[in-house]
Parts: sequence; C-alpha cells; structure tokens
Amino acid sequence: METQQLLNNCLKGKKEAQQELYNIYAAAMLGLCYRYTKSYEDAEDILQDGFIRVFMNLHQFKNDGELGAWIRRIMVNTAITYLNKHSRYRREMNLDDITLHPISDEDPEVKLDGKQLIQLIRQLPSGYQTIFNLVAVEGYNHIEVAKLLEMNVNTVRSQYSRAKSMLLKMMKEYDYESEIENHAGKI
Amino acid sequence: MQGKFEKNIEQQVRGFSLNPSPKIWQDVEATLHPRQKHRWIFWWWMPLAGIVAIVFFVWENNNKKQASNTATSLSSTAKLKKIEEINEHKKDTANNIGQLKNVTTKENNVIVADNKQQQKKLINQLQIIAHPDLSNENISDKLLQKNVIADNTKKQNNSINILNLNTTTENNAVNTDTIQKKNIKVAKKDLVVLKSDSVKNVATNQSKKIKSKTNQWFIVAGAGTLAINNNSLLQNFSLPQANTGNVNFTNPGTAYNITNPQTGAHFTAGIRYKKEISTAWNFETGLQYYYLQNKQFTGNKTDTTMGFAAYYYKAGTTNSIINYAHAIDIPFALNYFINPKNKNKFYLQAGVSIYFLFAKKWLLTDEYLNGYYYNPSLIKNVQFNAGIGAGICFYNNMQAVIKVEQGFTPFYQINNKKYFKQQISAQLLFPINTSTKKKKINK
Repeated sequence: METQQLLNNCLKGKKEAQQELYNIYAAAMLGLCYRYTKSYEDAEDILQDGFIRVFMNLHQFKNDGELGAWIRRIMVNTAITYLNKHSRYRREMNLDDITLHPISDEDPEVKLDGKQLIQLIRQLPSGYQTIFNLVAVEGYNHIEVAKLLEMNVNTVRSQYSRAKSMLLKMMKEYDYESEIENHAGKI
Repeated sequence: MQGKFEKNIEQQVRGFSLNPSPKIWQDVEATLHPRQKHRWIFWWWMPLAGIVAIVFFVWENNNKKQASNTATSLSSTAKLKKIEEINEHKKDTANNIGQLKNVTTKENNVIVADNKQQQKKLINQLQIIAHPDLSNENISDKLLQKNVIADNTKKQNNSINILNLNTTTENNAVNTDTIQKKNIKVAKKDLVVLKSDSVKNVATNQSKKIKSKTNQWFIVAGAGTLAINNNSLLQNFSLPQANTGNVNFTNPGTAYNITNPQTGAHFTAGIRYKKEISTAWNFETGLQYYYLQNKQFTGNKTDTTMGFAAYYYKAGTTNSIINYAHAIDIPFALNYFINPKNKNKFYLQAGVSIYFLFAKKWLLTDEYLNGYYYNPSLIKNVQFNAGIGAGICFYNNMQAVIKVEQGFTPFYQINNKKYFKQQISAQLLFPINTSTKKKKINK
C-alpha cells in the first residue's frame, strides 16, 4: 500500500491501515524513545502516547515532508513531555552543579557501535541525556533545544558540552575496559 | 550545528530499533476506537431507564387502586380501617365539609343538614374527623338508630340536629361509651353540634396533610457553572471564563502551556416528580435537559523556529472557541426535610444521576501536546454523577435548590487520564399539579 493511500485509510479510521502504519514505524520509534529514557517500560509508554498523538493528529500532516520525520518529531516531543512530567527524570534535569573538564579534542573518533553508544548515552544523567540526544542525534541547534526545554541557551550550550565530555570519558573508559578484556583473553 | 563527532554519533545511533510488545498496539487501538463498547452501554441503559420508569408508575397506580378498593369494603382490621380513613380523608372529608351545597352553617358551632342522607354523610365525615380509630358506619348507625339525627325534611326545619363532639375531638381518644353518652346527651337536645374550632382545625389539618403529601410534578429550570478537569474530587470550581490557562496571547511566537481547568456554564430545564416517603423524607426523579458550554481560550502556537507548528492540531486560529454539548439527565435523589412542620421547609439533598451526553464538538485537553483538539469519539456518551445540595420548599410548594454535582465516570478520557465534570447548579422547581381542592380548603 502506498504511503498516501495508507494515510487516507488511517484518516478514515481504518484499523488495518493504522496498524500497518504502526508496524512500519514502531520499532524505529521505540529505539528513539529508548535513547531518552532509563527503562524499557518508560520507552514503551512514550511510544504508546506518541502513536496515539500521531493518529489523532494525522490530518495535520502535510505532504511537504517525510512522514517518518514528522512521526519522529512527535515522538521526541512526547518523550520530552514525559520526562518533564515524571519526577525521577525531572530531578536530574538541573545539573549545573556537576563539574567536568571539557576535553580539547572537538571531533573525537567514535569507535563504538550503535548499541554500545546508546547504552552509554543512557548512562548519562537524565538532563544531559536529553540534551545530548536532541543536539547530537536529532540535529537541533542550541536555540531550538532551549525553546523546547524552556531553558537558557547558555545553559543548554554548557550542559551539552558537559554531556559530550562525560560521554567521551565514558567511551574512553569503555574502550580501555574492552582492551583489557581482549588482552586478558589473549593471555 | 553538528560537527564530525555529532554526525558520527547520529549515523551510529539513528538506525537503532527495538521491537515493541504487542500490548502497545492493543492499548493504542483501544484508545483510538473506544466507541463500540460505550455505544453498547448507551443503548443498554436507555431501555433500562425506561423499565425503571414503567415499574415505578405501575407500582404507583397499584397503590392507588389498592387504596380505593379498601375504602369501598369495610374491614374489621385496624390496618384496613386506617387505609379507609386515609382514603376518605383524601377524597371526600375535608373537601366535602367545605363543599356540600346543601349543608348550611348556622352560627359558628352548628352544622345543619337538609336531609337524612346528607346528615349521614356529614356524620360520617365528622366521625372521621373526631374519631379516626372508629368505624364511621358504626357510629353513624348508632346515632341514627337513637334518632340523634333528625330528618330535616320531615321536621321541616323546625328543629336543628346538633351533635356535640367537642370533648371527643379535643381528647382524640374516644370509645363507644363516650359516644353513647354523647348520643344520649344529643338525643335530649336533639341537636348536632360541632365546635367551630374543630371544623377549622380539622380543615387545617386536612389541608396540611394533603399539602405535605408531595407526590407532585414540577417544572424545573436552572443554571450554574461547569468545570471539566482531571481532578476527581470537588475542587477547582471557579466562575465561568475565570481561568484562561497560561496562554501568552501577546506574544504568540513563544511557547506556552495550556492548562486545566476549563470552566463554563450550564443551563437546564425539565420535569421532576417527587414522592413522599415520610414527613421528613421524599424521593425525586425526573427528566432534565442540559445545555453545557464553555469558552475555551486556545491561543495560536506559531513556533516555527523548530518546524513544530504543524505537528499538532490547533483548535482554532483565534484565541477562543465555544465548546457546547447537549445532555439528557435522569436524576434520582433523596430529600431530607429539616423542619417538615414549618411553612417554609429547608431540606438537604443527595442523589445520583445518569447523564446521556450529545456533543458535536468539545475541545479535549492534551497536556502532552500542550494543546486542545476535537475528538468526539473520546467523549463518554453515558456518564454517572453524584450530587449533594440544599434547598427550600416554600409554602406554595415552589422549591429552590443549590447543588454540587461531580461526575464519577469521566466526561472524557485520553492517554489513560480521566477528565470529570463538576458543576454547581441553582434550580427552581415550580409545582404543576396543585389541585383546586386545596385552595378551597385553605379558604
């Protein structure tokens, strides 16, 4: 079924079409939600809320862009709202008191695969995790993130810098541990 | 702006996917298509409400027939006598005392009947008034046997029959001996006397009794506030349009939050039926139409910097929109009269109601999306409310009541979050079946 026809059927409220659309995007969107949360259950909650919004607002989708990108934006917004609403995430949003030394290498090499990277991103404090995802993965600039999170641009900038530093540090430690394991295995 | 590092991260991470559990789709589907279940409930409750109404009126009619049958056949049991008395009281006695054309009053304390038949009838009435625990027929027979009552037609108005029952009326405890003594006394005087005060008292008492029987129909009309929010308790009441949320109208380019509650007004009209359970308690039901509306401030989010403007549905491009809905309400309530003997009676009310809602459009609050949208399928067609109130029943049976109602089933439900209806209502009840009998008695 073509995308336009699928959209039309979804707009008519046909369950089969809605399920097909869900099946196309659910796995990728759950991967996205997973990056923003600390638990799989939270990611599924966001996915569920996000798809409800997708179907309820599908008539607002204009065919001037890609449907996947539109759904992705809804998922990101749903995730941010979810994180703001739940205290366990909200507590970690204000992280100005954490001090890290920014690293000198601005474009360090990324040796890890996607799964390993996501595990490390999810280990970041929640505020850093969100900002890092928005900037580094979704491609938003600092001003956009500041508006989205209702924060000061400078705060976003500094927090992203710290998040990046923290992640790089974790990546190095991960590399080091892996090397030790590999070396130990050879011995 | 993305550097090399960010691009590497994006390339590595973007393709990551996980398979969701089947339950997620089931929940999404259940949220998107909830109507079938509720439609069934809706059609299920309509006939049920009809059956309840039919049973109620059949029961009511049976009670009337039973009372009528009991009155025509004399029974020896005290219970049936009581029914007989009540029936007589209701139908004939009080009314006839004031209405018999052939009965004339001479002075304040004398009642004269023109013929024997009317005398007997009058005696029956007097006995009911004076001796509620005695059989009317026995007393009147005894009186007639002893020629206490003379036939005016025979005597051609030469004598007046007077029965003096002052003592018995006042004491309200009569036995046959007393009656016989009175009969003897009466026989000598050949008069039938009824103290004027007794007549008045009896008439007044009868009037009160009839008036206090509030098995009555009313026309009801009223208005009040309306709030829909996600608190299930009674709170967040405010005047209509008092709360505009946190919308920044002056600078629509900035992000804003649209929050609960939404407040508005309701108007209602209908019919109400009240049935007396006792002097202090009565039950009421009825059928009411409700018109609900609120003015909802929506704003217009035009935050285009992130390309987000189109991702959710804005309810309107202006800053406000009117929500409206129609509803049919079937209330069931109990009233407790605090001072049932007073002319103006205060009462407390508690009850429940079934609410059938018909809404073409109603803005639903979505906190996640920070906006409103239409989706009639998410509005619950059948709702249940509970309410408490206080009112006053005036001397002419007109009533005024203020009540607070809380929905205990949601007005609508989205994202597993329930939004309830809360309203404060002031209503006036106008009696529509005040009989002419009462007016005559009161005179």
